[in-house]
Amino acid sequence: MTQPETGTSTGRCPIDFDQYAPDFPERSTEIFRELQATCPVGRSERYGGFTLLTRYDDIAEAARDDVTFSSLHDPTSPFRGITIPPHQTRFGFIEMDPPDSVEHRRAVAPLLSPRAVAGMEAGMRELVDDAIDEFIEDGKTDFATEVADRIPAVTTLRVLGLPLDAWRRWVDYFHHKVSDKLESSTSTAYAANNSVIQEMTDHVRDRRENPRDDGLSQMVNTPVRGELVSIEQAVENLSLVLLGGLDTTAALLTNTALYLAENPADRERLRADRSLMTSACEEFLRFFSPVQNLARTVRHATTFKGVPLDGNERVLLSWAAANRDPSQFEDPDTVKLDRFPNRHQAFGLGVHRCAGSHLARAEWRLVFEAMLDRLPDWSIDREQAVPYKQIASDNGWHEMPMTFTPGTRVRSAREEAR
Amino acid sequence: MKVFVDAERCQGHARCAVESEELFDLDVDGCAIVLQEIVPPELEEAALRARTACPEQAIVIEP
Repeated sequence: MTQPETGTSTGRCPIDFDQYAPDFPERSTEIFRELQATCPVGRSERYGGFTLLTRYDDIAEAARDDVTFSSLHDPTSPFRGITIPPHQTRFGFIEMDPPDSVEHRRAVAPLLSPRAVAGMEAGMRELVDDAIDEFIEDGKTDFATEVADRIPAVTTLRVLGLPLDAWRRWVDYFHHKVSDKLESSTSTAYAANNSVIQEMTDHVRDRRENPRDDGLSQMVNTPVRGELVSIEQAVENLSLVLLGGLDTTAALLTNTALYLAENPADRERLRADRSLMTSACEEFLRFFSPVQNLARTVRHATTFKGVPLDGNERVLLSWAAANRDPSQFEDPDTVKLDRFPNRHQAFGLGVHRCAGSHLARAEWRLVFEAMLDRLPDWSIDREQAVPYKQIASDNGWHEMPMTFTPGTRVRSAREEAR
Repeated sequence: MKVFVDAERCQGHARCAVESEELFDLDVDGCAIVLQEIVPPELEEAALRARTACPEQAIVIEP
């Protein structure tokens, strides 16, 4: 092991880093670039104090080392899970360590597997067409609420077998949780008044007592090490699936729509050559990093990159910084639709890698195939769009008004063909 | 050329199957299953690209 050098290249240096600062969204790229060069293992005193990692290789190493860097969330201990500041409630198996996290994940993964997603594609395509039908003749819509919120929400609720007509209520709850994280993590009134937690509990109990042929029944009745999990634990796992399903994909969709509206040459290239869709999706994942960062807790005192870290130290892994690290990505601040290789960390790395990644990619592809086919000249006035109050957890948008040349509905044609 | 997947490292990013569906299938969590351990000459380039594409460095190639 090399000794820490004096100066700035190694050693845990103090940083004034606040991912919730009002000007953070516009400055984040510049801040991360500077930290990567001068202070890759930094210590911020905010939110109880935490160490921030910004280099691609360092984050990859920490994410793969579950023994040193724990994801556990136990509110009675210094192990406070994957967000800084911690949420009041636990987010299921993403806030456990192996082997528990792996065992719990097994109850969910089959619902989101590549094969399961392939089986859902036809239904998802109709869902996208129906959503676009609602506004295609008007020449305007709000892309955030009518497409980016709706498609992932309805798809996720379908996977679970939950009532589809309530999708807007679920979206509002989870968007709020991540879009103003400081408030949602501190406001007890917010947590206590929330009927959505009660609703999740009711659905979980119902599936436990009256299992049926749906994803939630499968989730709550799959034994973990031979035993059924508690109702409370099952609700936590459900909230994780909903959070991942509803919020992160919406952020990927809105950010892509805005980028393509502002970069019509790239949009035209994608429209004309659909073989670019797969690499383009990965590039937008890299460029926007819908989940900006996740936290860990150091289990025992250790030395990482020559820097001593105390036991119980909170550590923030910035996927957003890693995904713009010039040592890993050539020209990192430019979108290259055909970028290769593109080993981005947008879905995380290691055993906690996003379980819904296959579904998210399919949703992105089906939405933009339809958009490019049906309203390829959309434009968005950035000044009219409303971003999340903070992007520290998830860089989404509440509203994104869009205009385009009106088109025709496809639903009646589809029904006639049947 | 032979191709293997290090099951300890693979986390189901599914990026290898994008490079070659002839070489890689995906299990229930998206983890890679090698379909042809001995890589036919026409798939050698795809095997090398899959190794490069993998964010977990889970693909091992032997000449």
